This record gives sequence, C-alpha cells and structure tokens, in this order.
Amino acid sequence: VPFPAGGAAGNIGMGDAAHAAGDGYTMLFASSSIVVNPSLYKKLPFDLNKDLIPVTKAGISPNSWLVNRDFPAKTMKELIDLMKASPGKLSVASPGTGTTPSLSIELLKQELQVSFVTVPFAGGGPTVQSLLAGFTPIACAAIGNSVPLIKEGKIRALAITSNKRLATLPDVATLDELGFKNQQAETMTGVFVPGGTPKPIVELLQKEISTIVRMPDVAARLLDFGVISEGDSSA
Amino acid sequence: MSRHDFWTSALYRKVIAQPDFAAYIENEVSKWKRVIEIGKIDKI
Repeated sequence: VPFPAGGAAGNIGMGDAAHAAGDGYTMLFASSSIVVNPSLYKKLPFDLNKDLIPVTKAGISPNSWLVNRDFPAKTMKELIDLMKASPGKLSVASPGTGTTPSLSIELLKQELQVSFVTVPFAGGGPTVQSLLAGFTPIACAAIGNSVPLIKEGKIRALAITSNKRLATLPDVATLDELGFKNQQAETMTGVFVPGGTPKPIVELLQKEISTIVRMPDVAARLLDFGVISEGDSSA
Repeated sequence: MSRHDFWTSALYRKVIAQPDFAAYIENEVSKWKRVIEIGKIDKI
C-alpha cells in the first residue's frame, strides 16, 4: 500500500519508515534527498547510518540544463559564455533547496566560477512551468518532467549530467562529453528498509525489485519519463 | 550486546546491506556534503 509522506524535503516520510518495524512489510522509496539531507539539515528524524538498510537503487533520472525555446543560447558553451559575460544577471530555476538539481547548479558555479541568481521552486513541475512560460529562462532539473516538452520542442535541453546519454533523448549530450568535467549528478530513487530487517528479506526484496525494474516493458515505461532503471546486482 | 542492539548495529547493517547500493549511498553522501560545505550553504 503506497503511503505518500511528503513534507520537510522527505524527512517526515524517511523518519516514519526508519522507525517502522523491520519485518519486511515497510519499505521506503526515497529520492536523493536521503543522501543530501544529512548534510543540509541541523536535525533529522533518522540516522541514515543506523536506522535504514539500503536495498537497491531502482532508477535514476539525470539532471539537465534546460532553456526556454526562445532563449538565445543554443549550446551549453553559449550558456556558460552568457553567464560569464553577465555575472549575477541570469536567473536559473531549481526544484528547491537541497534537491540534487539545486546542488548541480552549485557544482557548476564552483567548477566554472560563474555567477547567476538561483530561483528555487517547490518541485520539478513548477520549475518547468516557469521555464516554459519564460519567467525563468534557464532551469536545472531532473529530466523526467521535461522529456515530452523537449520532444515537442517547447523547451530545449542543452546537456544532461549523467555519464551517458539518455536513450530517449539521444541528441542531448552529457556535460562530460562537452568538456565540463566533475559535473556528474543524478536524482535517484532508492529502496530502503528499517534497520533490523532480517537478511533473507533484504535479499529477497533486492532480487525481486531489481528483476521488476529491469523487465523490458517496465524499463521502457520508466524511460518515457526520463528514468533509467537500475537494480543493483546481488551480493 | 542485546538482541535489539545487534539488529540495529552498524555491523549488522554493513553485513546485510546490498554492497553496490550501500557504496553508492556512501559516495553520494560524501559528494553532496563536499558541495554543500564548499558552497557554504546554510543548514536548515
């Protein structure tokens, strides 16, 4: 039974799952907030090193650098050149403080010494809506929400942050390919169980979930949403 | 060590967590911690 427990950047749901009984009947599907929040929040309702057992990575969605279709930069290099030519002037939308896209923005700033205004939104949907409307002409977001709009030519993807291209968007290069190094990042969906869950249950869940997300029809459906199915190999 | 302590111990977690994913999680935590520290991003 899915139990959406949003709020506080996922901390509420992660805390609930962390303190549930470790009997195999409670699983946590968490985004990358689970690996970011320990460094970003003063206080968390769970200890990642104690309260949760990692089971498997179900899938990842690369982060992407996106622009409104009327924005002058046609390539990532042109975008960087614009940022350098007008420091602090351009606005880049992000899905919110602490999301991996917001940290991808920070990573780009740190590596390339560029300056711009980051505009945090409440999630990927509003970020892309603002980009589409041209209120914020640039965005960095997990590519999942944007694949249909990119295919329709309503927004343009200049680059993605994964190590390899996305099969559903083969023309969109990776930052690494374009010469922008140390930018690898993604938004993950991972499965965890409460601490104390017996090993046979952890292994069974890992095996079954990995099998399911790798099924061709499931993997193809996930890819439609910009998600690359993963499923870690067994121990 | 009580039974409860054993089930929640770091040792137990290390033994039964799936190694590929556990290593990935550790790497991701370290990577973003570094970015947050270098960027001097305020804690919430």
